[in-house]
Amino acid sequence: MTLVADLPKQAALPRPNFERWRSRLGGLLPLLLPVTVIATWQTASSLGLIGSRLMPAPLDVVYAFWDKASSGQLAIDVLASAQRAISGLLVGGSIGFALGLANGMSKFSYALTDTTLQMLRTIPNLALIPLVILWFGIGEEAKLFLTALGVFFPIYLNTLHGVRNVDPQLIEMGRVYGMSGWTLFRKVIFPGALPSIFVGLRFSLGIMWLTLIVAESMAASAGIGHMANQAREFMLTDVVVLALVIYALLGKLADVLAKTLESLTLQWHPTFQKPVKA
Amino acid sequence: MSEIINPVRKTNAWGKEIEPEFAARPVRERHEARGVGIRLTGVAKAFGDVSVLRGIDLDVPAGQFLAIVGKSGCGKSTLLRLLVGLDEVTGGSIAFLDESGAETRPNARIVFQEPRLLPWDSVGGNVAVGLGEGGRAERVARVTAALNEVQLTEKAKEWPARLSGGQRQRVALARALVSRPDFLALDEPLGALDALTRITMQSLVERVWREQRFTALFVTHDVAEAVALADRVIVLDEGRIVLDVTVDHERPRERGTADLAELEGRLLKAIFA
Ligand SMILES: Nc1ncnc2c1ncn2[C@@H]1O[C@H](COP(=O)(O)OP(=O)(O)OP(=O)(O)O)[C@@H](O)[C@H]1O
Ligand SMILES: [Mg+2]
Repeated sequence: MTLVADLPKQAALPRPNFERWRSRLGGLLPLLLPVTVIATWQTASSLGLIGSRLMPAPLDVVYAFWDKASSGQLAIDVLASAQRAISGLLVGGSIGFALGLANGMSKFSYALTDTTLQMLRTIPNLALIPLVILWFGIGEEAKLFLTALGVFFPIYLNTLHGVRNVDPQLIEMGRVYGMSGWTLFRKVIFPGALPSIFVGLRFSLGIMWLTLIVAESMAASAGIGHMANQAREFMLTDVVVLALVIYALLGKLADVLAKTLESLTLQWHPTFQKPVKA
Repeated sequence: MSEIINPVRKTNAWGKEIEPEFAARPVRERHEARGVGIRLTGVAKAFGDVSVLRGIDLDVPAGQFLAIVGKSGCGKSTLLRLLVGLDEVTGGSIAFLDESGAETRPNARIVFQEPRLLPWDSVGGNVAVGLGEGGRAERVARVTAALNEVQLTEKAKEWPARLSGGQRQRVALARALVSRPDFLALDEPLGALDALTRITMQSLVERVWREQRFTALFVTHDVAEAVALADRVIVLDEGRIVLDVTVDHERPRERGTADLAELEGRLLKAIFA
């Protein structure tokens, strides 16, 4: 898996026929497949073709959701998970960002730390669980450590990549026009690295949820993972599936937020510009 | 939308926008020089063992328009980079002189072959880069004035990616001019433009120079361009000046006259000698 992705390419030319067809369907096309699957699944469950022990009917999941939501337990669990995710992202992300900037701009810092970091990167962070439990026990610190570590690498690598790939001609231009230090960073280096930093952010969000799911199944008194684990003990498949759905929704939400932030800050980038009407 | 703002937008046979005719606007000619004088004594530059400039002696009077021509790799860009302080000489010295002949620090600017605009800043913001840090209210007025000079006022809020190549280079010129430099270095500024855009850009460069009379060093690989614009043309070869000629024809010059063509021939001969 490469964690450094290419920057978004120029938007492809619109294909007129496809566009017209799609606008007629009003953008409903992407929903067609999931709706069909869920309808079939519900029908099969109602007809008794799928045992509810193994797979709950979609409606059962909805009831479970209602149940958890009205008791207030769901809000507590979602909040606990979101809090872990955000603190992991903040800690790991800001360290990765800072080191990425430092190593992108200073040869000394790069020579000192990059090789070590690249070596550490090859260890899958979940493989550290036994060690992490020995160090931190099974409490919040362990979860924070694992999430932060998972988030760290994509942000570090992409920030470094972004800073190193800022057009040297622009940096030279900045210097001729009297920029240095903070001004040069704020006007040239940071905006130039930003598209790549966003690629790192979106990669790291995926890793953040993945790490959290595993970390929460270790032990927790609240959180989506806790909810799923408890339900497994009582064979409540509907709640287990509900937990999966909520993980998926949270993941999607985080990605949408990152995407929105990206298109707001990168308006200058050709990929994010509205096409000019001819 | 641009049709409304600019109703007489012209396009050529390929539908490409033709740059407006700058020469159409009257020139507010300025006769007294405002620029700095430049004196190079035995300037040499080597990269490691490779000697690129080998003893350049050159006196550029304040306000002169000097064109530098020469084969690719003969050290033209290197010379400009030394003059704007992007590199250090390895021998000799460079001095900038005010009217009284005393040494002074120039307000030097450079225009590169590529516009080098910040893609994440608006056209106006890019021009403001030329002002450095400073008061806000005055900035807006000066940026607008500089954009007006290159006739791009209506594009101030546009992203650079939305401009044509010629328009981008005009923004780069406005960025260089906004701080009223007394020395402007131009490193093949029109080299990447198509032939038609080049002709109008040449008139633009000539016009702003006639209005501001900064000292201009214009590097070009186009001998006809050098002869049409400059007061004086030097030919560089293997790090030395091999020809230095004065062009004292009336401005604006008519292209393709017999004596200019003769001069072009002499320059070409010196370049390929
Ligand atoms: N930073 C550098 N390190 C080593 N050699 C360099 C460096 N910059 C330029 N040179 C060498 O100096 C010589 C002159 O380069 P320069 O860019 O001044 O040429 P030029 O006259 O501007 O050519 P062109 O017309 O192609 O732009 C070339 O041989 C080039 O390889
Ligand atoms: Mg050059």
